[in-house]
Amino acid sequence: MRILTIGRKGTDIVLEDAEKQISRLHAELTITDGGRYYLVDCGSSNGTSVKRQGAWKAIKQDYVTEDEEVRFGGFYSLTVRELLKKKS
Amino acid sequence: MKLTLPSMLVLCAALVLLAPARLCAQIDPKLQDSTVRILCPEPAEKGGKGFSVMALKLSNGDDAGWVGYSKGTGFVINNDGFIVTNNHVVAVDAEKDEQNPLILVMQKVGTHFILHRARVFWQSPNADLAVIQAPNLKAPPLPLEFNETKSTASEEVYSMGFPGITDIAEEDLARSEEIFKQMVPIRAGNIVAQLEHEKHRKLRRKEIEEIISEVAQEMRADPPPADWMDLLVALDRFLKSADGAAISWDVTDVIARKTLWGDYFKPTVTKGNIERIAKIHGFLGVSYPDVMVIQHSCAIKHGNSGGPLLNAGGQVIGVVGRGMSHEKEGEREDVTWATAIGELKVWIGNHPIPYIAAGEWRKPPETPQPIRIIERQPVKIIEQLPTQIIQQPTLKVVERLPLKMIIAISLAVVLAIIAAVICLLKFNQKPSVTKMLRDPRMARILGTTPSKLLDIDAGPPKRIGNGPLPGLGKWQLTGRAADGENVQIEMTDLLFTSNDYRLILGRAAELCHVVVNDRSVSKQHAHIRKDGNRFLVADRNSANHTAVNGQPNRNAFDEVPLKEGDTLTLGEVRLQFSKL
Repeated sequence: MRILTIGRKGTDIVLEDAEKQISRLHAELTITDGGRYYLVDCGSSNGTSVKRQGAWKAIKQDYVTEDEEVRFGGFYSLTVRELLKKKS
Repeated sequence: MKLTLPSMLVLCAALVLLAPARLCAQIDPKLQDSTVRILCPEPAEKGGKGFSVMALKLSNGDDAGWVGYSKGTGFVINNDGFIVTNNHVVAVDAEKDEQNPLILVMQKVGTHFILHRARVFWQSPNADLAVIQAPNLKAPPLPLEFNETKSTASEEVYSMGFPGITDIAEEDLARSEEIFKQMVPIRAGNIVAQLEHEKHRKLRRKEIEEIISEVAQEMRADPPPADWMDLLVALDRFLKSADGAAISWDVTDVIARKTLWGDYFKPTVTKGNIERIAKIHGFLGVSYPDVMVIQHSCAIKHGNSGGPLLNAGGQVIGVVGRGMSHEKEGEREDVTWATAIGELKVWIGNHPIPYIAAGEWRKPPETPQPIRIIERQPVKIIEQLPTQIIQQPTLKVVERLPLKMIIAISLAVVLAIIAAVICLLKFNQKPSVTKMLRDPRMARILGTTPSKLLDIDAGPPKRIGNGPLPGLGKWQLTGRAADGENVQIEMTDLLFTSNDYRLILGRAAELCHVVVNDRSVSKQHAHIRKDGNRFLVADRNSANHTAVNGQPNRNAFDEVPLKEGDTLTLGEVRLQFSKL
């Protein structure tokens, strides 16, 4: 099991969001030993959402797949695969 | 009428030539004087004048300086020096309404440059708007258009502001690079020192390396142009020798030292179209009111923040400075927003601040609310001091007292501190087992005599020496799940150390270090972090929340202390935390 932190500053995955809709520590992504992904919103100001059946669904914590699109804050969205590529 | 081909061509050419001229004419160049550059440099140490300047020595022996700063744009709305801008330009943190300690506004008046000190009057982190005042600033005010429904999609709009510095000489680039290289370790060092102070521990090497790369990344994103730094250092020198109590200074001589420097304060105008007018979430998110915004296509860069978005009639319809980045298949798409100026209407309507709307001056209300007094108005202080001294002759007696009073107060403080320390030491000591057993009440409770109890107790103190070594501690969480099943969880120092000092508790084994199997517990419910000798617990945005001693968590990921003897509740599972 591995945990990656996602946020605006000092996290494993840094998302550059000029509008600061992304919190300093916004979410955490747990990668299980079996290769599954679990996304947890860290109580961020602007929330974390997953696109399911064409609509954004706000989540507190949920499993996500590599192809699913996730959104941090109001505007910044990308697929989990793209998110993982941003790991420094 | 018959149009020949040549005449058609001439007509087309005329239209092409005329078009830009006609559009530009609609934005009066005088309006540019109403757009001002806002600058928030780090101020000098308390009580000092000017900025906080880090002196650097370059490899060729030249002196250079570094000043931390943030910048943006603002625009004048009345004759009293009131300026509208983005909150994130003047706030220390965009999400809070705490203002920068030093806010400067540079105004260009003809060939002169006037630097004003400004103060924040109102801030709305959610709408990202702020109103500041530079009392001495006089410029033609821009009229406001509060009714965004008057604007329509595809309508032409203009943005004025001071984007990044683009014209950099090659030798400046080399100097910028050197400043960058020198500043990264200095800034990272400051952050490390601050974090170590906050966390009461030395940072690990990996953590320090992370901070260095983060600082480097941040500075790369907005590299320090050496020429701009030279200008800030020159302004600082001027301010350090100038009247510190003043609220505006003529800095024309400073700016005139380099021809390029004046260009930093000439606003650029970009043209675009309205794409959409809609309400979207404000800066502070869903739990705050939505904010009306105008999506537009004017080219916007960092320094544009806070500038006006004007319609073809030269009226302000929005404050530029918001945007969105969308990333899909590696391609980045930027959308720019302006907060509709209508978001200012309610506040300004309730305050005695004049402004122009719908072509006329709006007068202040009849019962004006008190305006915050601008600090550092030396005149007022000088006026008040003498009267106080004359009116209160007893002041002389008081004057002789201070030394004695200071001694008395400091003695009292020292005594209080000593008393507090003694109290802390005394009350922090948990009664030893022996002490408790000597208490006759204990014997009564247990139905025996103190001497017998002490006999039983004779062994334990010797064992303490053989107890676990530091770093091999064990703690447990014991209790009962909702279905009545016993729960006992053991957490060792080793487990904490091997998992970055943080253990995740929850229902799903593949997602947690410690499994708490109960239906009311989320897959990842909470985590316990070991920070030195302390334990901190945080809820991980669980469905049924986390509580310590019955006190539920306020926000997800907010860490609260967990002490031995405390009760930790995960959903419906109550657990007792103790040391083994």
